[in-house]
Amino acid sequence: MSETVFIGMDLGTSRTSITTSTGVRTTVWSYVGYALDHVSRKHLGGRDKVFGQEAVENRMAVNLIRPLDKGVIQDDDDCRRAVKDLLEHIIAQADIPSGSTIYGVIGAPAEASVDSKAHILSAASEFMDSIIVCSEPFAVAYGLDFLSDTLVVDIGAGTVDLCRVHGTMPKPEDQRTHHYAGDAIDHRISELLTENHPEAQFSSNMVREIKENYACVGTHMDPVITSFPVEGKPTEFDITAEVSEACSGIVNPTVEALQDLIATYDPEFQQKMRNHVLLGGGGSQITGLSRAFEEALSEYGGGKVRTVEEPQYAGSNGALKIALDMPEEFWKEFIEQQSEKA
Amino acid sequence: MSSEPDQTSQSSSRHPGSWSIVIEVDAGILRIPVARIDDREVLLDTPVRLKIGDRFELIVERPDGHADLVHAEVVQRSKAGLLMRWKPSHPREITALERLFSKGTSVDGQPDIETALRSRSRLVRTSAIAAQRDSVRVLNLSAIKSLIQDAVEDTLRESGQLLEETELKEIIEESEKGFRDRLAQFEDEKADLQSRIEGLSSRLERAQDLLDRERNREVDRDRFALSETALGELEHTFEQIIDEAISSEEVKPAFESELRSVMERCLDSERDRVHALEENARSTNIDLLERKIQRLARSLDDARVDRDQAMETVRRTESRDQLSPSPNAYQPIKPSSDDGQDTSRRRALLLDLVQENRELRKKIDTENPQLKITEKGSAC
Repeated sequence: MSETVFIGMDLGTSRTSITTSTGVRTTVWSYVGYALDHVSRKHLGGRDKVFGQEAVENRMAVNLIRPLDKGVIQDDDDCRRAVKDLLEHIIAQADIPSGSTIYGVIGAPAEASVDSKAHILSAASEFMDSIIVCSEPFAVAYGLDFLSDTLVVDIGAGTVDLCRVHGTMPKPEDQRTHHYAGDAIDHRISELLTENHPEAQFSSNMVREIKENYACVGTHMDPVITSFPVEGKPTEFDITAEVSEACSGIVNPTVEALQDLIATYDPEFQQKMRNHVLLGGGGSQITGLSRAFEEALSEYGGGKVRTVEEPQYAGSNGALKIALDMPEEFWKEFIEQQSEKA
Repeated sequence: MSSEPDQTSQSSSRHPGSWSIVIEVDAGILRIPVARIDDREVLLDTPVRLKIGDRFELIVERPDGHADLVHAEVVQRSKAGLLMRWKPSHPREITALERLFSKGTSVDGQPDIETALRSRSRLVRTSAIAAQRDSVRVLNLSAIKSLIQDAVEDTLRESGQLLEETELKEIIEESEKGFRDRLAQFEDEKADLQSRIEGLSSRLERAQDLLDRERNREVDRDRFALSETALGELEHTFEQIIDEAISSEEVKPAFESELRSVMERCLDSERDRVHALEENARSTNIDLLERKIQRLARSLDDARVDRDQAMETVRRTESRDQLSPSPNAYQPIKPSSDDGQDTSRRRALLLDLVQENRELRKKIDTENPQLKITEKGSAC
C-alpha cells in the first residue's frame, strides 16, 4: 500500500508555503517566469520556466507572471497555468516520495469567491488525491489551538483578512477583508517617493525590498537611508517619512474592521475577544504593528494583540494540522468525487 | 566603514571540520575562522576592524561544506574577536539560518543521516546497471531513515535509555521556566525604563517652566544698582565740577543747570549699562535652559525607544511562551491528541469544514460546469 502524505498549503499573493507530514516545509515567492525564446532558455540553463525569487531576478529574460492578485487567482489562462506550475513546483520541493497518496488542505483568503476556490481546487487536483479548501485565518487559529473567542488578522500581500473564531466554522459575517495590505503599502511608498523625490529611479521590487527591511509603524522609527540611482548615479535618500506614512496606512482600516467584528459579537465575550487578537501573515512582521493596534484599540476599551511565531508558515502549519486531524473517510469521499469527475 | 585586515587573516585558509565565514570588506574578500557560532550571533576570530552597526552579507560555511548567505551586523569589537549578530534581510535568509543550524547538522556539528547517506552513496549510470541486471530493488531515502530510526529506538528501548515521560516533562518545565525568567527580566527592564521616563518627563517639565518664566521675565527699565566703578566715575565728575566752581568763586544758574544735566547723563548711562548686563545674563540663562531641555528631550526619546524595544521583546517572549509552548520550535506538526478537552469541538469543526467543501463542490458543479476538478496525475 502506498504511503499517505498530508500537506498544508498557504497559497498567497506574495508567497506560497507548504508544510508536509514528512517534516518538510518550504516557501517560494508566488512568481513564475517562462522563457521568452531560445536565448532566454539557454540563460536559464535549458529550463522553460523558473519560480519564485529566481523568476524575479531573471525578469528581463522571462515572461514573469504573478498569478494571484488580492488573494485570488487572476482570471486568465496564463495565470491559471502559472498557478498549476507553481503548485507542481512547490510539491516537488517538498520531496514527497513518488507514488504516495497526497491529502492536502489549502488555505484561501477569508472572502474568496466560489470561482476563486474553484480555480484553486482545479489547479491542485492534478497533484493531490484529495483536497480541502479552508479559510486562511481559520487555519492559522486551528494550528495554534485558538478555537474560541479569537480574532485572527492575516496580513498578506494582496489582502488583510480578519476572521472571528468562536468554536464553529467562520461564516461570512465572521470575516472581513480589506485591501490595504503589503502590495498597497508598496504602491503608497512608490507614490510618495515619486511625489517627494521625482529625480529618484526605482522599481517595485526595490520598494518591496525596502519595505521588507525597514517597515515600521510608530513614532520611534530607525532612519531609512537608501540609495537610488539619479540619472544613473547612486544617490542617498532619507525616505523615513515616506515609509512610515505608507506603513501607518494599514492601521486604521484594520482597526475599523477589528472593531466591527468585535462590536457585532456577543457582548459578554467582547472583552475576551479583544484580548485574543492574533496577527499572522508576512505583514505582521512590520515593526510596532501589534502595539499600534493595541493603542488604537485602547479607544474602544483596550485589547491584547499577539504576533504569531513564524508568520510565513503559520497558515500552512495550521492547514497541515487540519489535514492530520481530518478523519480518513472524508478524504476518501473527495477522492471518489475527483475520480468520478475525471 | 573602516577595515584593516591583517595579513594572517587574508591568507588564512579554510580548516576542514570547522565553521568559517567569508566576508567582503574594502580591502577585499576574506575568509575568517569562527570562534563561536549559534543561530543568534557569530564571534569571528579576527583582528579585522569593522565599524559597529555596519551590515555585511556573509557566506556562512558549515563544517560539512554546506554554505548559505546571511546578513549580519557588527555589534561588538573586543580582544576575543568581532561579534556579529544575524540580521536576515529577507525571509530566505531566515530559512538559510534554519538550514545552517538545525536541519542538516546535529548537535555536535556532524551532518544528519540524510546528508551522511547522500555523501556515502555512489552515482551509477542506469545503463551500467541495466548491463548487469534485469531488475533492481529500490529503497528510497525516507524508508532508509525510517529503518535507521526504528533500529535506534529499539536499541535504546532495550538498553533502557529512552527518555521517560517524567524526564520529558522536566525538560519542558525547565524550558518554560527559562522563558518565564526571561519574561520577568524584560518586565523589570520595562518597569525601570518606565520610571526613568517619568523622572525625565518631570525634569523636562520643570526645565520648561523655568525657561518660560525666564523668557517672560522682563528686565525692569527703572531697576538698577550702582557698581563701584560707576560710583567712582560719579565721584570723579563731582570733584571736577566742585574744583571748577571753587576756582571760579561763583556758581552761576547756567552752570547749575549744566551740573544737573551732567549728573543725569551719568546716571542714565549707568542705568543702561546695568540693564544691558542683566539682559545678557538672562540670555545666558535661556541658552543654558534650552540646552538642558534639548538634552532632557534626547534622553527622554532614547528612554522611550529602549522602553518600546523592551515592550516588543516582552510581547515576543509572551507570544512565544503562549503560542508555542514546545521547547523545539521546529518540531514537526502532529495531529491533535484525542484525550484533550477540545476533541469534540475539533471534530465538530472538521465536520463543518467538510460540509462547507461539499457545498463548495456543488456550487462549482452548478456555476462552473466546464471547470475540471481532475484526478491526480492527469496533468502529467
